[in-house]
This record gives sequence, C-alpha cells and structure tokens, in this order.
Amino acid sequence: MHEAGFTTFLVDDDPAVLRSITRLLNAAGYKTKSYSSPQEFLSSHDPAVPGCAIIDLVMSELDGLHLQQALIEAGSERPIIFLTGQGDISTSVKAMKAGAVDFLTKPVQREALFSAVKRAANVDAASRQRRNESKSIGERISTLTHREREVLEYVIAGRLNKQIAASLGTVEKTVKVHRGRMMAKLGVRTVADLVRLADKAGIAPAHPMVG
Amino acid sequence: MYWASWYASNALGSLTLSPIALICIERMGSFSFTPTLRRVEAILVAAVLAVTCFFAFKEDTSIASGYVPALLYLPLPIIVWAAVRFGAGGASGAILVISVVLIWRALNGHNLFDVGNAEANVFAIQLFLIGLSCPILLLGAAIEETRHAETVTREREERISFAAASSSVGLWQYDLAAGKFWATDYCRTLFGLPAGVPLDLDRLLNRIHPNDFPTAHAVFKSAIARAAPLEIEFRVQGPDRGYHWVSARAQPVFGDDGKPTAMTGAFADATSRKLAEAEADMQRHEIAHLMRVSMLGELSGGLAHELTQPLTAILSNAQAGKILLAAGKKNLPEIGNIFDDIITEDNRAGEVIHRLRGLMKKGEIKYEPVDMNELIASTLRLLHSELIGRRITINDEKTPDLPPAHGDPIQLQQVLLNLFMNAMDAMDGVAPSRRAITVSTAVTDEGGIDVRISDCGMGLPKSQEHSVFQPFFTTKKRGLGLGLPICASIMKLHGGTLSLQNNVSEGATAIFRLPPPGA
Repeated sequence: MHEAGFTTFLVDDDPAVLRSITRLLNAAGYKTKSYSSPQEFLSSHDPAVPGCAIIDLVMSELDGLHLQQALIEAGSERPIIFLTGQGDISTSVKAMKAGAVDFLTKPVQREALFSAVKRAANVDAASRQRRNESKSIGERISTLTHREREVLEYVIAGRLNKQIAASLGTVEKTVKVHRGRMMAKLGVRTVADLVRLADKAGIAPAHPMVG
Repeated sequence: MYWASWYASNALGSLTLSPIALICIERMGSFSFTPTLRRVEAILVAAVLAVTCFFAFKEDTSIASGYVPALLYLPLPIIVWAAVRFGAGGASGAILVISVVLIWRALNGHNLFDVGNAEANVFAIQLFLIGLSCPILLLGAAIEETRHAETVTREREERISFAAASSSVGLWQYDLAAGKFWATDYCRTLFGLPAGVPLDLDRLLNRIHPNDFPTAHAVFKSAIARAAPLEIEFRVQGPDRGYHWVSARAQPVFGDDGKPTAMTGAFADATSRKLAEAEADMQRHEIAHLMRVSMLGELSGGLAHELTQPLTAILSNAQAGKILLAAGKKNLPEIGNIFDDIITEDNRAGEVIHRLRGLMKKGEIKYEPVDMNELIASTLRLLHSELIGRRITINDEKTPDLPPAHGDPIQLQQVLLNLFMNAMDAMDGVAPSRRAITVSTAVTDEGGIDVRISDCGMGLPKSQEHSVFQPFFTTKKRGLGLGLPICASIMKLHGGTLSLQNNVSEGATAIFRLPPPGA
C-alpha cells in the first residue's frame, strides 16, 4: 500500500480533532505522529523520514500557509494536505500553488482523506526517488577528472572526437581514452543515456565554438 | 322721653323692616327656587314663634310671680332655629313676627311690658325688641356668611374635581390624625368602582392587579406611616375584564407646627403612556434582536468553524471505529475510547448551538443573577475561531469570585459581543503580532460590576468620543452605526452605564458598569 516507514505527520491545535484523525489513520494502518502546535512540528521535523504532513489551516500560533512556507524555506519537500473548516478559494489557490497535495474541507470523509494521503505518498516516493537518483548521479560525476568532465560537456553538446580534440588542444586518440573512462565511470553505454544523465544532474552542454 | 321714643322707634323700624325688605328685593329673582319643604318649614317656624310669643307675652300672673325673665327667653330657641336654618332672612323674619305679636298684644289689652303709661309701655317694648334683634341679626348674618363660604368651597372643589377628572386625574387626601380618606369621584372611575360605593384607601388599593398589589400596598402604607412623598405605578382592574395603568403621586401636607397633618395626592391614568412605552420597548427589543442576528451573521465563518471542529472529530472517530470493528474484537478498548470522545465532542457541538440559539431567539427579557466572568468566558468561546482567524490574543485580567450581577444574560452577552467585535475591527490595521484585547473585571465601590475591554487599535476619532453613541454614527466601512446605541440602551435598561475612551498610549477602552443587584 505504501512504502515502509511512511509516516503521516498531523498538525492541529484542536486536541479532539487531532486525536480523531490520528485514530482514523492508525485504523487504516498508517504510522502517525501528531503535534498540537506548528512550532513543535517544525522543531522536531526530520525530512529524511518518508511521509506527508496533514495540517490544519487555521491555528492560533502559526497558520497552515505560514507553516508550509517555513517548511519550504527549510528546504523540505514534504508533501502537505491541508484541512480547513472554511475553504475559501484564494487560500486554497495559494496553498496549491505552493505545492500542497490537497485541500480538504472539514468534516473530512475518510475516502477523501485516504486518497489524498495515497497521492501524497506517491508524490513523496517520487520526489524521494528523484532525489536519490540525482544524489547518486552527483556522486558518480564527482569521481570524474577535470579533463573527463570537459569531454563530457563537449560530448553532450554533440561534438565529434576530432572537434573536441581541437577545442582542448590535444589529439583525437587522447580524447577517445578520456571519453571511454568517463562513460565507464558514469555507467552509461550510449550517448543518449549520457545526455539524459547530464540533464538530471543539471550539467549544461559546452558552448559551441564560435567561428 | 319723646325724643328717646322717637329715636328708638326709628331704630326698631330699620332693624325689623329694612333687613327683610332688602332680602326680599335681593332674592326676588331666585325666590321660586326655594324648595317646598323649606317653605313649609319656614311657615311652621313662623307659626310656632307666633304662638309661643302669644302665650309668652301675655299679661299674666307671671309678673306677680316673677317669671318675667324666663318668659322673655321662651321664644329664643325658636328665633335661633329660624336664624340657623334660614340665615339673615330667618332672623329678621322672626324679629318681625315677634314685633307684630308684641304690638298686637299691646293694642289688645295687657301684656308683659305693662309698665304704667302708654308711652313708657311702648318704649319698653321698643327697647326689648332692639336688644333682641341686634344679636339675632348678627347671628343670622354670621350663619349666612358661613353657609356662603361653604358653598363657595364646595363649588371650587367641584370645579377642581371636574378639571382633574377631565384630564384623567383623580385627587385624594388622607387625614393622618383622623385616618379619614377623601377622594374625588373620578377615583371611582379610575379604580373601576361603581358609583355610590364609599371611597376609602383600602377599597381602592384592593382593585390593584394581584402582581402589583404587594409592592403598591407596602409603598402606600410606608409613605403614610412616615408621611413621606410617594410615587408609584401599578395596574388596576378596570370595570371590564381588562387592566389599565394608574400612576400615583402624593406628598405630605404640613400643619402650622411643621408636623404632617395629611397626605394629599393624585391618581392619573397612565395607560396610554404605558402603551407607548411598551411599544417603544418592543421596537428597541426588536432592533436589539436584529442587531444580534446581524452580528452573528458577521461571525458566521468563525461560528461555522466552532461547529466544524467537533463534527470533524465525531466523523473521524466514528469512521475509525467502523474500521476497527471490522478488524476484530481485539480493538474493543479503543472503540470504548472512541465512543467517549464522540460523546464529548457531541456535547461540545451542542453547547455551541445552545449559545447560538440563545442569541438568535427573540425571547422576553429575563432578569436573573449573572456571573459576568462566566458570561465573558462564554462569549470568548463563541468568538474563539474568529479570534484565531484574525490572529488576536486575549489578555485575561478577570477578577475571580465576582458577586453576581443582575440582568438579562442574552442582552448582556450581546453588549459584550458587540464590544469585542468593535475591539477586533479596530485592530484590522495593526500588525498581527501586536493584536491583543485585554478584558478585565472588577467590583466597583458601590458593589456593582465593572468590565473593561481594551484594544490596541486606532482608537476613537478625536473629539468624537461621544458621537459613537449616536445612532447611525460609524467609523467602519460596513457599519450601520447602531451597535453602540443599542448597547447603551441595553445598559440603561439594566441601570448601568457604557462609556468609551481612548487609551493613553494606543487604542480604546470600553467601560461597562452594572449597579449592584437591587440598587
């Protein structure tokens, strides 16, 4: 159903509502952690734990939108589901633009809640996978030598070995060796794979030679 | 002797004939008004007097036996009778009768005044008649005067009674020493008593509406006992089944020695004024209710949230319970907890509805002991979501263990709600971190309650601190300008006061004071 260790983080300053939603998610088999104040949640937040946050929009200390902002500023990509008593359009638009998964109106039906949590879980899993991938790509790229990295940028710019050798002021044979080592280190076989990987890693192609 | 006799006869003539002649001329026009019974009485008195004189003035053995003085006094009671009953006219008529009988006697043989020669006899008769007529005429005149004064007084009284009655006022007086009660006829009409029933205070008071009777009775008794002014209004059973309002006022009358001798007062029909007052009251009540409902309308978002929270908890608990139940028996203790929470939350929603219904309904004003601290807490619970939504914190500076105030909790809550909402609106332009309302309660020196609600908003516009209580004055963009006037009228109804003042540093404070119960 969902990834092991997936936790729903509940934030609501109304203890009765907090307890009841915790119960509902527990009954559905979700691991939950509940917080009665947004500050408490922020201070103990661990972005490494997979999961989503279910946040009450109207709270006395810090309202839901501000909490969402604080999480984004802290670099967290934790998917958020908002619960609200009075769902006005402008607030929900603001919340969705800032990346909220859903905006549910209280009293919330369990189907709506569970489906939102499921979507949040998918979002969380996808973003986690993306981050893992880009992290491993980054690690591999960091093993390249300076010259291999230069070759990589020329290759993804679509240059031939001969042209690269001319640009770098070396011979075609040397470029071929660098290219082979670079492809091996990054674990790609074709230029197409290399381009995709470079794109994920955010590496820009070398500027084409002028003239 | 001749001159003396001549002078005496002239005097006697003017004493006996001229008064009766004058009276006859004076009454010429109104003679026919004399009732038959009085005429009969007049003739009877004249006849009795004539017969008495006839026998009394007879020459008799009386002279020899020395009864003369006694016989002379014999007609006196009859003359007094004539004077008392018929005034100056009666007195002079009686003297005329005596004179005629005496002259007739003198002309027809001997009489009491047979002194010797005829001249001396006539002179004696003249002296007797002059001596008799002077005091009798004076007595007659005095009686006439008294009677006239009585008539004038009675006429004046009737005129005042009539004037009072035509302005729906009945007059009354209570003689403190004699315990005698007098009242104008209109009091009968006012108190629905049939004509002919003797008027006394208890009979009037017994007509008062049973609900008003104990108070009215006590007020009258104590005012009379202390000879103190009184002022009271009560309902009175009318001649038909309905009741009408009577207002009573009275004050003591003091004698020459400075001691109270009587209570004098007036009863006035106050029904039409009371009806107008009731009408105005009803309209005020109606407007107050409308304002309450519109205020709740403004708060609807926050109030809906107050209901949504428990409903959310109930729904989620119930859905969790259903899942747990399907999963098997091992979850029974948790299901028990779920039911406990559902009950608690249901009660919470119920309380919100109860508070709302109180404010929404248009009930009668009911005065009862009110715990102001509790009322403030309940009002703040109602505003809970609204306060959170507007990021306003409440500084609670309530004095614990306040004595109860006396009032209508719904109307007082309306005032609190209005003052809190004004304070909230006043802080719209203030940074959220600084938005705060301070509410404090205290006991006043007189034992009443003092409630203060301070904000740190923009304060009242300068020189307009009093205008805020005028209808349709508002500083809000979407205000009707009726909130504070209604609040002030509610406070007035409770015998309290409401004032607004700017704080020294920032914002304004509303001061709401209630008198001690029974003040």
